[in-house]
Amino acid sequence: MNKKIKLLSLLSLSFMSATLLAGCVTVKDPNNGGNGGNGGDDNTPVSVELDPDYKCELSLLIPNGNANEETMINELITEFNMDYPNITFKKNYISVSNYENTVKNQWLANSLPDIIWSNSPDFYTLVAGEMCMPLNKYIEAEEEAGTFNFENDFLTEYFDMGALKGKYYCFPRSCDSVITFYNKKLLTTAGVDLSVIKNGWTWDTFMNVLDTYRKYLDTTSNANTYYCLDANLTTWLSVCYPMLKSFGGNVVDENKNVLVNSAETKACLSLVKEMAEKKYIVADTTTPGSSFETGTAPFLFQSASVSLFAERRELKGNMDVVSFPLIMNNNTPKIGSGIAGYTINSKCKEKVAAWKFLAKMLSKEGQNAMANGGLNLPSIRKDLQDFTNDEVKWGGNYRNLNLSAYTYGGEYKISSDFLSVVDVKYKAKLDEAVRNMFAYATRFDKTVDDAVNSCEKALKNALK
Amino acid sequence: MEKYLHVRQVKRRNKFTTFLKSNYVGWLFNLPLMIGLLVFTCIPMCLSLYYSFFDLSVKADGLVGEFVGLGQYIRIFQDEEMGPVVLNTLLFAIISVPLNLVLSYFLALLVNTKFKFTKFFRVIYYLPVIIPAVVNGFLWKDLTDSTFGIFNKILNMIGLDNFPFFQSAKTALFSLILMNVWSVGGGMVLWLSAFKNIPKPLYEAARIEGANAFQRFYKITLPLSTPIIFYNAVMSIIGTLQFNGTLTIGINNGKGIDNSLYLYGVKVWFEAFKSGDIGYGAALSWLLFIVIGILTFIMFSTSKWVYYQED
Repeated sequence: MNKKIKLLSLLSLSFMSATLLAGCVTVKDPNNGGNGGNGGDDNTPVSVELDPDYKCELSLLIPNGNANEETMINELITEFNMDYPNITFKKNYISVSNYENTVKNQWLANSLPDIIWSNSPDFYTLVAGEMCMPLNKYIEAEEEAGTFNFENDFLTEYFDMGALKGKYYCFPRSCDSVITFYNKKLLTTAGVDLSVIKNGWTWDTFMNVLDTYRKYLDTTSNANTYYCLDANLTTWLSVCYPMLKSFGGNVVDENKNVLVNSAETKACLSLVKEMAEKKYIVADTTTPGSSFETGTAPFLFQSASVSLFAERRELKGNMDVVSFPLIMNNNTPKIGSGIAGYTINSKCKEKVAAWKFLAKMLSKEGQNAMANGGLNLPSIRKDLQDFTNDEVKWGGNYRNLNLSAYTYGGEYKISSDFLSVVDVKYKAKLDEAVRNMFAYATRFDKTVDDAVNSCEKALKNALK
Repeated sequence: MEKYLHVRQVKRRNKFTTFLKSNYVGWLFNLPLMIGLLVFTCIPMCLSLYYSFFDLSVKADGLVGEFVGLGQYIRIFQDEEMGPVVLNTLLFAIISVPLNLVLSYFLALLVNTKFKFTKFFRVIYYLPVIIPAVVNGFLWKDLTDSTFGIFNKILNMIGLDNFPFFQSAKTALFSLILMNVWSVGGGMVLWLSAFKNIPKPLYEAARIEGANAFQRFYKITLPLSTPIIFYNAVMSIIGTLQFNGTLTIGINNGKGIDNSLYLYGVKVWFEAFKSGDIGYGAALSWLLFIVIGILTFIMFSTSKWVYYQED
């Protein structure tokens, strides 16, 4: 009896395991490169007509811990419901730091929402997993319907950052670009001539300003713990990659060849090292005592909305913004950029309704509604660029600031595009290797060659 | 003959029904645990073994895998990161396990003696154990900060230079070992329970025989606490080899400066959840499982020194 029970249990367990295992993984056919669905990327024409009384529920994925994103989306939903009052929304939240893992799990569990918040470079994960669909046909259909003219109405360079191989996947909700936040009060106290800090200023001018401020800092009691530029020069790909590209350097090509070991990379890293040695920036192994948000460091590279800093007690009335300094060494200056926006789940059952929501986001009313909800970043619409105009809402209470810094130099904008040339599974390691290379360059126990060799080794190992 | 077989089957069925009837309360109590073990341990284990033979990626059809046989396991031995990872893990385990065992043992001996504030000290030593690991990580990150950490402030006060702790590759692993000592209270409680189980008459008899404190410790306490020594040693080795507590304190995804804190547990997490290379992460986990299994087997087969009172 006992033996039979054991045998039966073993058989049931084996059967259960076999069924489970077989159901869990779709084994790839080596003779067929494709992996199934393409998220609606076929030749079937799409319709963008939707009955105003249409009734459905759309689920929406937004980042948690970001009050601004939620309030602006709420405003957009209210605006959308004026056209489609019977479409309701269910909001889901995602932790940005665990984005990739969460969307993959939700996708596998069929619980990924219809409309997904994403950013560059995270949208590569969605595209590689065919979790989001190309939106070109919807753009064409909307153009045919006369709703908008894509090329004429929008700053398309930002849409390109949410595109891959000519297909638009993720729509930006605003223009996100790295700019320079600066503290006027600190710089004035240090004797810096503020008139040189203007859009289009160069890295050489920036270095001169840093030098003036450093000399002032050395006369204070905080000489050893305060620095001129707040961190993230070496911890954020949106800053270090454009610097590398400005020098003509590169990371990797589509054939997985590692390209970092070049004179251009070394020139770029030498500049970073010089900045660390002159104590403009902190070495990677040291904790700085100053930061921009506490009003103790005069500069910060950021892409966030000015509202994040401008209301702080230490910065109120003392802060302004300017474009990212242009590195002219190779005459190919670059400014880090990217997108934060929304895309549509390729398995979404209410594609037209979801599209209508994205179309509303791109519309004049939608952009202004989001601005009223706290989106103080430039609109992606060309007709909403003049933030001094009262009809343009994104300037909010900050119209006295140099908000054009965000959109300055469209031709220089670059996203971390090297992550898209190889398989998405290498993304985390590539990102880490490049950031580490810049971090090494700031360290006094490492040479520029150490930094390059270490990065080259890490990249080669990652791409094996 | 048929009738005989039928009678035998009915008898067996009755025996099984009787067994279930007489034990159903026990089975009922065990059911939640069994379901939990099946769903959250057995099935994921089987799945991870299966995954380890594939190069997996998430696609429109779900989890799509290319069968690579032992490819992921071979990859482990070709991975250049594995050298420092294994070295760091071994160093950490070799120093940390005996250090924690010895320290927690002597701490338990101390708080097992009768003096006025024994209970207070027991609570104090145990407190770090109840602090969540993530909070503990952030706490240590602040305490050991190279510029503003309290430890360095104290060193400065007594005229010493700053110690880099986690901010230098040379001192990071040492700092991690130091941080791990912080939670010796967990082991201490187990030792205490072992000491309490040692029959008091043995000590009384030894005293009458004229044994001094050291002799009583060496001849009674130590041998009779060997089952807990053994248990603690096995669990510490397993825990240390799987350790990934650097994720909150170490920069660079928990790997630390120059990969100085890159332990095996961190590598598994990084590959499976940060890189999304689930197949490789699964293969790494299974290799660790095999290594731990072998070490545990060796420990059990050489455990003749463990003295069980019922023996």
